[in-house]
Amino acid sequence: MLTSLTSKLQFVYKVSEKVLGNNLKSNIKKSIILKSCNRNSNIINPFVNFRYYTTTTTISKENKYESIDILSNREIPQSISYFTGKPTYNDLIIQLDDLIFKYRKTPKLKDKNVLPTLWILKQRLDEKLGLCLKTHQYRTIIQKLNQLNIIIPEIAPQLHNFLDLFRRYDLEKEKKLLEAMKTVDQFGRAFTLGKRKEAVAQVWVVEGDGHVIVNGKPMAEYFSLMKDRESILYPFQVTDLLGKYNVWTKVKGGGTTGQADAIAHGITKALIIHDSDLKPILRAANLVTRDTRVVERKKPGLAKARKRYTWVKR
Amino acid sequence: MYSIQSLRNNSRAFLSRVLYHNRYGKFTISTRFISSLYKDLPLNSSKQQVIDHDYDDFKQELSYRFFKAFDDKPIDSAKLKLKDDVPEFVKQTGSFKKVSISATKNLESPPSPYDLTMSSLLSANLHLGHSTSLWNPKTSPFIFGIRYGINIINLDYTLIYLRRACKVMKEISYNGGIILFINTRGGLFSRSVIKAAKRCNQYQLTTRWLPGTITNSQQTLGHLIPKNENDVISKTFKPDLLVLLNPLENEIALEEARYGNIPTIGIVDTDFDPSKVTWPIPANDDSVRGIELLAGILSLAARDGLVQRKLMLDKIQKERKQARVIYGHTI
Repeated sequence: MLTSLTSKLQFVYKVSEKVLGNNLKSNIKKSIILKSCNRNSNIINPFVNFRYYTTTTTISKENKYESIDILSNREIPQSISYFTGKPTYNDLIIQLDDLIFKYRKTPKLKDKNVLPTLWILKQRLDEKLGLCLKTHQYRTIIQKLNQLNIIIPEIAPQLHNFLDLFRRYDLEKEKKLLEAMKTVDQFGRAFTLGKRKEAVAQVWVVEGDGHVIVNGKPMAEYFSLMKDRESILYPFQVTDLLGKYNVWTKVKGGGTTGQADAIAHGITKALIIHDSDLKPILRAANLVTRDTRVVERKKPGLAKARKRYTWVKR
Repeated sequence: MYSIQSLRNNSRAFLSRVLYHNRYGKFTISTRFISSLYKDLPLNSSKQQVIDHDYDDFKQELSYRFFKAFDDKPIDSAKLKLKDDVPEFVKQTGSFKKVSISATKNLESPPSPYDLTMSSLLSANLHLGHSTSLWNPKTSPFIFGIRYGINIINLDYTLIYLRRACKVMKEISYNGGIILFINTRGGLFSRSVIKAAKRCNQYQLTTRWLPGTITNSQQTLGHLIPKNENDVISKTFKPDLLVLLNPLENEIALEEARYGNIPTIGIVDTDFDPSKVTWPIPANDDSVRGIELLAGILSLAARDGLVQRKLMLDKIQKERKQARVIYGHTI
């Protein structure tokens, strides 16, 4: 029941006779048709004269400001693609097209062996824009981002600043990069974390005589089992560096063997920081990977993770 | 809770909530409302508005960075190739190659309807109609003749009807109306439509027309502007003019405009009925160049109206200020 502006104003237009007279040879029918509110009123003859009513001439000066006040304070939708039903998505596409058109002549990277960049995932983009994107919509966005990504970043830094909003950071890769960048301390120490099965060990490794201190105590006092002590010293054995490094650790969580293996894991990482050539040797000895074996959960219908209840025939 | 008395006080809101258009144009009462009266339940389920600050920040950041990237001046590849050891007098000799017609001339600087020439209309291929087997006899006054099995449109009439349509555009934008440019074919057609909409600060539609944007606007567009707590319905907008650049594929839009009492401008080819549109423009709707030209011309006319509106409003503000000073009281 909301009436539009047009139904209030009367649209009746005029075309000047000079224009018609100059351009047409045939006879002109002069007839005046008023706009009516019925649906079937849109039958128009091509040769028709209309007259235009303006509001300013008929209304007195007092009401002049009122009518124009109504018109000047009118609310309008904000985005250019309001009537599509998906204004944010369409506005994004328009922006990307504008950028592609603007940077179409700038030089681009020609290496075909460039790794594909990681773009933001569909879920995250939905959250950030407040939308529900379909796959084909998401794909069109990423096609355009790939077109823009090829441009050399030194020439167009602002563009790449814009594209950084859409990049995804692979946490695992970043972690690996960070680890590769680690160096030895000003005091010659390498600090690492080692983990195994709910045990966490903070490990400092320094060049020295071969002492090992665990939570303030020497290793022999803390670990009573020979097996645990051997597992701690195994990385030094494998690389022939038994009496060359001192180790100071803080261990928390888990049990005895878990803590011992956590310390061993920390020592391998620290040795790699000291000397990166040792990595393949340690990898061959299966010391570099973090052992992901954990206690398996209990399942319903079973006594433990795998143990079944006794089978009864009837 | 919506009691009958409170709704009678807000009778207009009451009617808009209760009544809706049947497909035959008659009003029917929504059954949901009637059932709610007996059950004493509220009409709307009160959903709490979750204010997500995350996506507002992201959108602000996006627009800020986009404008920086857009205003930046990149170095063209041609300049990088120039050698710097060429002496200056050599650069000053020679002549500049000026391109007389560029491919993007109609997009960036379209002509006004009073500067148009027949040759520009011809070069944009606006005279080419569809084949004679697909001819709609209602377009016979616009047709010049037949050649190569297709109907040729008389460009005299395109010029006249174009100028008429431009007048309409100008007056509607002068009065502050909402204009919608529509072309659903995609690709280069959409580029011209978007440019036209940007030129005159109006609206565009290059994807599918949602059936119900005018007659069922609450459902289709109501979710875009969130409701305040005390409101019964959400705010939606309807266009005051539809500019259809391919009306053959958008007959639903034309019907909705009829129901909503909205005038339409449309490019009428030889296989389309011109009486379906209030302001027809007989021309070819298949050529990209033609639609670039027409969209540009119409948007220029709308921009003209915008400019005049601004001048008019500034003038009135001045007069008001003077009047206040003289009489010493607000109007």
